[in-house]
Amino acid sequence: MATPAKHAMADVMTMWTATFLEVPTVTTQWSWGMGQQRDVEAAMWKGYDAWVRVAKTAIDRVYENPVFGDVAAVALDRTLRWQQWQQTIASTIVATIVPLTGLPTAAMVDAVHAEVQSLHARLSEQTTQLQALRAERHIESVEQMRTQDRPRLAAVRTLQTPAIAAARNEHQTGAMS
Amino acid sequence: MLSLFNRFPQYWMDGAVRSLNGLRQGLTEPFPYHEDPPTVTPYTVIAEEGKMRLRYYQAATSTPVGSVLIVYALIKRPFILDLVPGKSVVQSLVNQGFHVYLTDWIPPTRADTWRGFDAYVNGDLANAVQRVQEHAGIEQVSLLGYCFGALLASLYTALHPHTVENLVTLTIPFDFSTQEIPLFSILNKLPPATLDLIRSTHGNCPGWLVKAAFTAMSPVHHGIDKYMGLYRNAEKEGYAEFFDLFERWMNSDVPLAGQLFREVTHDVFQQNLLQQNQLQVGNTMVDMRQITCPVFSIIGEHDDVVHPHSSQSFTECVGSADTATVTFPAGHVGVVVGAAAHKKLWPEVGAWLRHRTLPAMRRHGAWSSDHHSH
Repeated sequence: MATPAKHAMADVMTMWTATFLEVPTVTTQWSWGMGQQRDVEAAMWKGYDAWVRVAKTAIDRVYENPVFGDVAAVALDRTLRWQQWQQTIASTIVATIVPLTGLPTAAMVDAVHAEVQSLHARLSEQTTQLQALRAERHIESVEQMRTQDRPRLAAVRTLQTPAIAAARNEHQTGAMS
Repeated sequence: MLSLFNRFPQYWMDGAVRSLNGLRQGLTEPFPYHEDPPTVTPYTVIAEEGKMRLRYYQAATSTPVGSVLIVYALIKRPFILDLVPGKSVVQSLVNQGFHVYLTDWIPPTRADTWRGFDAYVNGDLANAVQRVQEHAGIEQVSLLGYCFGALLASLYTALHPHTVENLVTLTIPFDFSTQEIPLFSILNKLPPATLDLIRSTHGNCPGWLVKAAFTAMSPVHHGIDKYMGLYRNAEKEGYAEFFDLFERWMNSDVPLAGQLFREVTHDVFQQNLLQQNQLQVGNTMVDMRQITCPVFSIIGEHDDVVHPHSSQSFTECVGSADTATVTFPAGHVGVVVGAAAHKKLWPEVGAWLRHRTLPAMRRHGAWSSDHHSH
């Protein structure tokens, strides 16, 4: 089974031969009408793909180098301490100036934000309760209406039917004549 | 070929704009998750508590076969699981007859730096499972975790085994005894004081720091090669649209809660306490042998984010007698958006779950003669 080092050497060879051998060869052939453009493109992409693999392997080897790891860890630590120092200075200056300008601090904005979220949650909850109450009341009123109005509706229906029938007869008589 | 020199700067500038937009989103509090692209599969939000919104996707078949709770990672937004038609994990499971639930984690703000594993596992995830139990009318829930979500799902299952019917883990970062990812060599050198400094300076681990770490894993790919791939596949139907959506997801980094960041980097990654059953969540030591439900572990053979070796020993450490491990020829994201994965892997996942899931109506009725025992 090939080791990663052998893979890397193979990729370097592929990159070298593609760049300095294959591409010039197929390009010359193409310029003399003996080859095709796609052969040139294929050779160039072959060299590019090999370069990508070589570059990735090289970067991975750098990451694995303990010296690089130590340097990166120290660099990150120093950067964070510098950011922390910056934030402390900035917040001290802001804390001094903000009361003079009347601008709110981040803590104040956070507190207002939390309160707004809490109010929003309460409003949603009460809206849901109100909708439920309205739904209950609507059902009750519909039931009440059905119960109370049933005799009256029946009476209206009874009264209307002969009148409607009479009107219908009159209309038909008029149409025939 | 000459058009490459014309198009590459344009691709690179588009990428720079996407990166800056991602930086803006990551620095905005609260995180503007309403800017996520529209999903492929329609859903409703059935619960929102703590730092979790629970989405519900209804099964597409008239006779659902079960319910699955997808536990997404706490890194980046979850729309990678429902990116485009035909390459959507959610759509695949819904079409196979599952009611799907998904944890849409709400990115933490400065007020959430205290949140660690206890808050996310014993708080939000436990609430999600309870909501699924109530909504689906079931006592035990099947969990499917992706990457960091698989870690959360396995922690939850070990701590609350009686509520989990099946556990599917996708590229779970479990064993860090051997660290094959080269960049992790640097992470291993960060002393606890530096990790605490990240928290004391920024509160949470900022999204841009997470993105920088992912970019540093493959700088040649993120800086050049992916745009070359876009050029070479420009004629392929749908490739450009997919690339755009995928890049939006790659730039959707969210902050990681401060305490959680400390626990993940120091306890899980540097000390490897999880694999040794010495990780404490809340007041309880997590013991993977408490996981006795069926377990299906999926590993990406070409995964360069979670090395295959990190996931391989997971099924050996659980206490379940019904375990399966599949090493699929795809990368870390290829297992969820790859065409081959949706043709071969996800039907297999659906079949595995189907054979080990009791439909709700059978759960609450008398046991039938073909009841499966674990």
